[in-house]
Amino acid sequence: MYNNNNRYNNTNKQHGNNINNSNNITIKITGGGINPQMNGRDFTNFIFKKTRYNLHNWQVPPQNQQLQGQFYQFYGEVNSKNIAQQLCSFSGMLKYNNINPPLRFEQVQNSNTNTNAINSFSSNTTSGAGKVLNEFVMQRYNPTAKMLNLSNYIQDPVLQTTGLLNNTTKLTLGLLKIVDLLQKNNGIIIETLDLSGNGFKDLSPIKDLPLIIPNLVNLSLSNNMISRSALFGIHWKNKFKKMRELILINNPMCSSPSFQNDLMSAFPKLILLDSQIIRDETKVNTLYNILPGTTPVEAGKLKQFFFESEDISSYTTQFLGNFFKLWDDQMNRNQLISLYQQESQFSISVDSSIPPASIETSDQHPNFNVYNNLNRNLNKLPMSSSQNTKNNRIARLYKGNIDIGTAFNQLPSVKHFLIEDPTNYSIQNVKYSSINGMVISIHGYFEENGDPLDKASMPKSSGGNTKRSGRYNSYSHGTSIKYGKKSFDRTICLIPGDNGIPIIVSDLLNIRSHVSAAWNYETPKPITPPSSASSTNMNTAMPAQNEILIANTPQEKEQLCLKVQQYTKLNQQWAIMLCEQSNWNYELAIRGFNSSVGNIPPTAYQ
Amino acid sequence: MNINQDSVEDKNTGFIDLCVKKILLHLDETNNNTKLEEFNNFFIQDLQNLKIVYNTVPYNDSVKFITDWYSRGPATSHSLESFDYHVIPGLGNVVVSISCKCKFDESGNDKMGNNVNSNTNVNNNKRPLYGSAFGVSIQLVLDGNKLIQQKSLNNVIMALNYCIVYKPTDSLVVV
Repeated sequence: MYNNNNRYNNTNKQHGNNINNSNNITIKITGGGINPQMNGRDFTNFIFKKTRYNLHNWQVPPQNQQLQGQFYQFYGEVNSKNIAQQLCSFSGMLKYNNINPPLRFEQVQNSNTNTNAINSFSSNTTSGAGKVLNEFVMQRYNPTAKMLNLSNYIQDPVLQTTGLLNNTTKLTLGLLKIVDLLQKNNGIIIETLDLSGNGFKDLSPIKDLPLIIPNLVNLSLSNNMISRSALFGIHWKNKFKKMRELILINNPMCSSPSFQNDLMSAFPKLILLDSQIIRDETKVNTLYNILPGTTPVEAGKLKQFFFESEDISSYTTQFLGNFFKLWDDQMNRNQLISLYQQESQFSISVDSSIPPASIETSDQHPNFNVYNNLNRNLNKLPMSSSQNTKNNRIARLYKGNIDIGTAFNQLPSVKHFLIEDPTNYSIQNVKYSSINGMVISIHGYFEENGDPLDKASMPKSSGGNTKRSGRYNSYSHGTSIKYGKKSFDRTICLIPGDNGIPIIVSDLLNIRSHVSAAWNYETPKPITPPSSASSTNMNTAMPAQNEILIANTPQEKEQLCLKVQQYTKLNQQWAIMLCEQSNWNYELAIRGFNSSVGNIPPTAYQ
Repeated sequence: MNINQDSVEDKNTGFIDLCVKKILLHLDETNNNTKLEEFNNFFIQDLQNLKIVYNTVPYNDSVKFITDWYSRGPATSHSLESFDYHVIPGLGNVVVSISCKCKFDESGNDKMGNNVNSNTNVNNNKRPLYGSAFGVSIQLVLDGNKLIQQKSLNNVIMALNYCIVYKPTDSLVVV
């Protein structure tokens, strides 16, 4: 049978291969093209493309699989018996890579006995083998050094009782599962791991280590029997981002002429190999840190906001809060039209590219069809193209508040989360001196939740086209509209208008696939931009460091309320109300105030 | 929308498209002094009005920005995914919004051609090995009048905001 060595296969939620469900039905697939070297992801994608059914917890046949007849067996799971039956109906109908014979699908009875072999003990750490392993790992863990010493565990008599000492692969997987659980549940941190003297011939028992301890800094695999240094490149290339030191002495591969080169290729940030310095650490850290004004140790400090000066920071956040509040209220979105004038312009461009699947939250199947007739992505509308394309360049640029209002009604109902989830929004804002205004760029996400008010220009769904039917003639994927989350970049040029109401001169909205943000959210504090450009502070709404941002005790609440009053000038009753609505979170309270300042009655102020 | 009324402006729009692509290409330049000088000439030399924000770090000096850009980090490859622009009436300024992907060279070479593996023969070739894509959003304000008049990019970039909006987890580059 097969072992479940892709238990930790990937972290991509969209294509998760780790779906644990006791009702899962295992499907065995045999046929041409299935072999231990195949790409399991490609194969399951092929199955999905042809059958529209996803296989989970799939398993590429291992090298040493006992062949039954002529072909290797690929195993995967589906969620229900019904899907399993549907999938089996494709048996004999599909050829993978056009190789004969066609694929055969069969349901496997009593599937859970093997797939959850590791879980059977590891998920229960209070009794049986799971308990023994748990105690063993904790005994070998040194919290001060953040080190886990798993050297020579295959000969440790403590593990005798698990009955797994004769099955190193299972034992290793079990230990890794325990490590995974301890990190998640007990918060243990491992930076150094010693796996020496365990008789590993290759990396297959521990190839998922980067998924379990991705931040490993030091690793020892000395005194094993690893014969090929190229394996590190095959399994672990670029996987350990922080790996600094490797100890691999007393392995057959050490005598290979390509040993050091293979290791340097596999670990581009490796500094020490068998206690020898192989790279200049300062050079490495400098090379891969692209943020100016930061030292290599501060890498990963992309900030969330930039405002050219203090006066425009509070104005901007307040303006955007109000703007998106009205934008999200589809029935009242047209109230925003008063901000646009006869010469104002608005357009939408869609960046339909797919972000890398390695990003944990990234939509790999975005649907932008609702924007098809509004999309002015000039990269897709080149001047050299047809007259129709040129016309679209002009027609999809909305000028004047009447046209802009029409365009607003053609956009779906959406919800932005500036108040509920401020960490996912980034703003840059500079003064635009030629017009005495400013340019605001905001990056973030919204959730589509309903059709546009004006459905006339929505792309026609081909679902109703009775002339096209059947599996091969249906083009419904092309125009079907699905709503979901989208990321966006919006560039707004503002100039001052009468009575302090700003005028939007230009409004460029770029919509792209939903993906988690790159910037790093830190608790609000004054951010002082580096010396050039402007030396003013960012946002008056941001309290100083070490001040109370989230209040729990009555004393803290009192202080927080005073601080909110100080900023908002609200009277006590309204300030308490605001704090309560914001769960006594200063940041949320100030943002809430900024976004609804227009609706607060004058009597609410001190 | 009256298409005829816009036909004069229409003649120049193709040129603006080219300029956007040219600016992206210059971001990918490596150690070539002529090209760097050319890129520096794109920016207006009025330091009071020049606004450059690179990943929330402000510059008001294009030389400093370009020096930092070329002396820091590995070589890049920007691919344009979408862009759109508006010409501000009256002023003739062009506000551009660009969405692109940026991949970094992970071969160990920096933009000057120095390799962190220089003591060995690992990856010492100059061929870049690009990693996973970062998402980049760029906003530009260009002096449209000058751009059309001189048909070149000299002294036209009034503002540049370069912001990484998403990052892959499997890249060597950290932001």
